[in-house]
Amino acid sequence: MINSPSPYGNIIADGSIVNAKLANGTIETAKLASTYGIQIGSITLGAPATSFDFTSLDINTDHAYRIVMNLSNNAAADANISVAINGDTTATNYYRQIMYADNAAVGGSRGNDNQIGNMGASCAFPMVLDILMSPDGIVFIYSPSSKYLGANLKIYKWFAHKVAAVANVTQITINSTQSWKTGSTAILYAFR
Amino acid sequence: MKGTKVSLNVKTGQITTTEYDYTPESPLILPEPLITKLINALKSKGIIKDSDIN
Repeated sequence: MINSPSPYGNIIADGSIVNAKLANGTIETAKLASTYGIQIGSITLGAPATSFDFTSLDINTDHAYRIVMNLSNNAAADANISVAINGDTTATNYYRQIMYADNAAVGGSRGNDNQIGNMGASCAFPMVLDILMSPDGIVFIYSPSSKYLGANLKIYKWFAHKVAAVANVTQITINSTQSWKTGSTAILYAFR
Repeated sequence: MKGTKVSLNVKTGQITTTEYDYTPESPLILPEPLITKLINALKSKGIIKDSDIN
């Protein structure tokens, strides 16, 4: 929430809602036509965990979601990151395509699964997920991420979609095959 | 394997933590050093040649 005093009254902004308290004491309320990324949820791990889960979502209202994750792999082993829409964790209900590049090679692969990232062993792992739903109910998930550090740094672009159409996206879950360290965060934005 | 899920209900702000059992369903992507070792082992045994690697 932002409070901004002005000679004309106080402007109070909470997400896309702006209230202006005028000098005569009346309050005018307006909803911004469009805002870029309203934060609607944030999770910071107080202990290592393997899954972030956002519930009570409504993509029909929110249009699209972005999840910004600052993660760190708690294990000395690589880990797969996967996404589940509306609690559907069946891998074969999704398809994904990836493209990756390092200083020497560019490659890619496709799978009939819901993988959306691959986290390097014991590495910091920044990741951004964009989740959109087409007018005919197909859910798309895009994610740029990187893997490893220093001389082994590698960039990835992941793209996945859910095969069956849905009427809404009410839950987004991100799972890992290894735990994330305490302090790892996932911040959820809506594009209302 | 045991996992820990941290859930946030964005309407109520309630955070819940639950333990769950899971089996990774996605095929693992092999780490690059392991892929290189495998390729080198196959080449050293004459099973594949450089020209087989795309």
